[in-house]
Amino acid sequence: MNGTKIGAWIAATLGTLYFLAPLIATFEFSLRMRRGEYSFDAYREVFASGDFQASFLYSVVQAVATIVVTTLIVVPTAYFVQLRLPKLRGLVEFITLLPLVIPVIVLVFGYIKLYGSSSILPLTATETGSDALLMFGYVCLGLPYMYRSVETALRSIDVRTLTEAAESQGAGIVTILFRVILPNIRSGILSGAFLTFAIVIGEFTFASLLDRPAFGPYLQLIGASRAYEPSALAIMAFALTWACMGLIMLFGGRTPSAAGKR
Amino acid sequence: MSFLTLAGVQKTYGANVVVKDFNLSVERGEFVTFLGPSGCGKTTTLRMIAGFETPTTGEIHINDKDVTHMRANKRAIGMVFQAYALFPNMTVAQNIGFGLKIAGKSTFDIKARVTEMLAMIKLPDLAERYPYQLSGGQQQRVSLARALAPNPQILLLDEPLSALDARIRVSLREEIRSLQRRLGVTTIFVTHDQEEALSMSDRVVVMREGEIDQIGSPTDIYNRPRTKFVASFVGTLNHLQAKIVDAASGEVEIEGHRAFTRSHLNGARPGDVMPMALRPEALRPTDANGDNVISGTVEDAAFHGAVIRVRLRVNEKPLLVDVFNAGEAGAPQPGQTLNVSFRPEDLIALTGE
Amino acid sequence: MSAVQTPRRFRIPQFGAWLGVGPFFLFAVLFLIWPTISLLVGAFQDKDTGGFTFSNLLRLWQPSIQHSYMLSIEISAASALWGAIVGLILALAVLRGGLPDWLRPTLMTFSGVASNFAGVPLAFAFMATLGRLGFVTLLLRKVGIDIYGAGFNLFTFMGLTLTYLYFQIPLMVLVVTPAIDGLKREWNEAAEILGASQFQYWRLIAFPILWPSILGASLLLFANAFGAIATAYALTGSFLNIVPILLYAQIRGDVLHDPNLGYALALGMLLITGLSNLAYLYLRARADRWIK
Repeated sequence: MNGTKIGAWIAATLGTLYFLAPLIATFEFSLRMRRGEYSFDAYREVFASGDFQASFLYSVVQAVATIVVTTLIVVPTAYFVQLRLPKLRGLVEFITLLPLVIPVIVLVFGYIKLYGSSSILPLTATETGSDALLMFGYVCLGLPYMYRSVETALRSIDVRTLTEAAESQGAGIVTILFRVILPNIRSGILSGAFLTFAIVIGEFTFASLLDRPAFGPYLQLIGASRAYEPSALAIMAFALTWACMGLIMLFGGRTPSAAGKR
Repeated sequence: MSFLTLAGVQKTYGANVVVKDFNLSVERGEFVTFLGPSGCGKTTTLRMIAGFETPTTGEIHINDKDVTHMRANKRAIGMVFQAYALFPNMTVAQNIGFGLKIAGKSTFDIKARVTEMLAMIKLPDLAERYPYQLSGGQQQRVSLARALAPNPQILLLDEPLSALDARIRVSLREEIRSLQRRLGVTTIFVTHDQEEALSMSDRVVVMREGEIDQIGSPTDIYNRPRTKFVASFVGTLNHLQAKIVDAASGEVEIEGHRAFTRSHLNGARPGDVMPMALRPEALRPTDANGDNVISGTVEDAAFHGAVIRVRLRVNEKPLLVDVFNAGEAGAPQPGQTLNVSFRPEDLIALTGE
Repeated sequence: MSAVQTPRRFRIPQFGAWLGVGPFFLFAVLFLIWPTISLLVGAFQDKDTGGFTFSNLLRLWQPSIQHSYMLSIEISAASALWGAIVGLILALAVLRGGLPDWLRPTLMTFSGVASNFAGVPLAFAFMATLGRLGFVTLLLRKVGIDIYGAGFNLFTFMGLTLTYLYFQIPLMVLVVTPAIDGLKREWNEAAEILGASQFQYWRLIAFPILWPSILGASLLLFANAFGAIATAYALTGSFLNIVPILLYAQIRGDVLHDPNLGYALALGMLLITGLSNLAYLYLRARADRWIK
């Protein structure tokens, strides 16, 4: 048994080094802005920058909008599938897995083809249209995770009984969904919400190709032009992701993984 | 000359003593059962024999060799687990032949032995099936064959029947016992089911909280339980508070009735209260009155198939009586007065804990 | 849950349930299915006439595009292979290596975060680590090892693969952990009591059982890397012409405006990721069947 244990310790140590090194390196680099001494100047520059504030705000608004729309779409669907349309479950799950299989760049391309300036529904012709299109793209990216956590949460409560009880009190379907079901699956929605938030904030491909002033393209631009600020931003991005994960664990209890931001 | 010996075996986890001073000698070919409730240490002791746990103190000898610190894979022991533990990536044949393959036997030898084992467990056609295609009972039989194929010196079974349906449990019980007798392999069987223990074993080791309460043949354990725990764990028991009248003659008084017992009342003085026990089947309905007869009112008669369990009320206290089912006519009715008699040797004094 | 099949008297009619799932399907069609299908159709359309043609697909066979696909496949395969190996070793070490218990939740949480930490910030992080003036580069130089002198460069195939590993390894850990958990301890004990050494147990039982899951996870990693673009764009720009970068340029209009070729590229990408994912699902189903 001892040989295995030594090997395990070596593996764990090497793994830790590999994963901590970039974080330490980035943090160290971000402190180098002021010549000769460590300082948080890079962070100050970033926070003071108007572009940073604007793009971050833009992405936050997009994230919130995405979360709301995704919830509005996912909750009724998961609810009805579980309650009345169990045969649709396979199809719905398949659809929610599509964003994980279709590469993001392919999806964007499809959007541009269908909703570009030379098509029937030229959403990209206007800024608002593009914003909406971007949001719909984000909804796709968050869909798998939101659906999975909402569905799991729904399964852990007795949907049938709750519905019948509410109906016997005379509640209509909208009331049932919003006043009865929603509060009970709050933890599932929050899990999905935080993950969606993390995905949207850092997303690059969609925003860049739809030419929207989101945080992702801002990051890339900064990287091309500045020296120290990118590192500060990277640390902030990592801290933000960690915070989101922490909140998910607090509310959901599991750690999901995400694709699509790559 | 005993084949398997455990001497002063103790197992502690930190401050927790799980097995205390376990002493046992098992003859070659004997079928011994460790019987007790969950957490009594029976599985831990079995695992120490297997080699998965090492005793904190004490020694284990198999065939005169000290195996206390020997690795499990060197002990030539066969084991059957509660959850079958068949290797899912191998066929039944490959599972059964696994031990022989590790031992380096030739393909020809392995094939012959596997066929032999399959015939023994009466599943000759399942050689190429995978475990997930088998029922629970079939999986357990394959597990048994796998354990026996390499001709182990000892066979260990860790609650092998607990996960199975009642009907399969009974038939498999018989199969295991007959197989064991035929092969003559020394066997240790762990269970919490006293019916299994009584019907299969040559000897039973009753355990409680890490200690052995009693070791004996099934009849010993059942008819002459040494402690209150053993008496109540094995079979149903009526607990009685008897007042000593005369220790020498064995005269006692139970709920106002005079009775005699053959149990030793060692130095008990007149007037002392002694806990005693009577098995439900030892009580027989009678018309007589007098010594060793208890009179009560029938409260309830539960139909158990071959036996009717009557609950008698004697001075507000319950007394369970088992009578054979003699058809509708003979069943005791609630409200009826019933006298039951018993023999002096059936009145057991619970002198131990 | 209720097993009685008597008809329930819901006030919501069945029709209402269909209405309830309507928005989902509408959304899926408008923003998932139709865009993708439209691309696939476009791959078979002639640029000028709009008629059916294979010419776009045939043009995929140009050397430059072939080179792109090969590059993509190589990077994806390399990062998938190493991600799988390292991820597996790490998962086994923490789950079954006899290490302290607190390491497991730490690893799982970190993997959840790290598999998410990709794209532009990751590129920055690696530049700060292994770039010419990076932390580790300088550290190694102090010890006398000059990696750039020896030919290493972050902005190459090797550098990109190394960067990809940062999210591939955690993804592997997350995907393969349930399979490792599924290895019942009784199998190890049963093997041991039958005379097997630890090595024999792993070789004859544990690895064969894990193998479909490992293979499937590797395919997942492969598909994951193949579709990745943000990291590559931020790190190597158009220097490494992997397929997503190529597509990006097509969409941006940086190259001769030839959308139909772009559609063909997209079709190729979709085929590769689609098949990999299908294979992953199949292997996972098989593994599940064994470990009922």
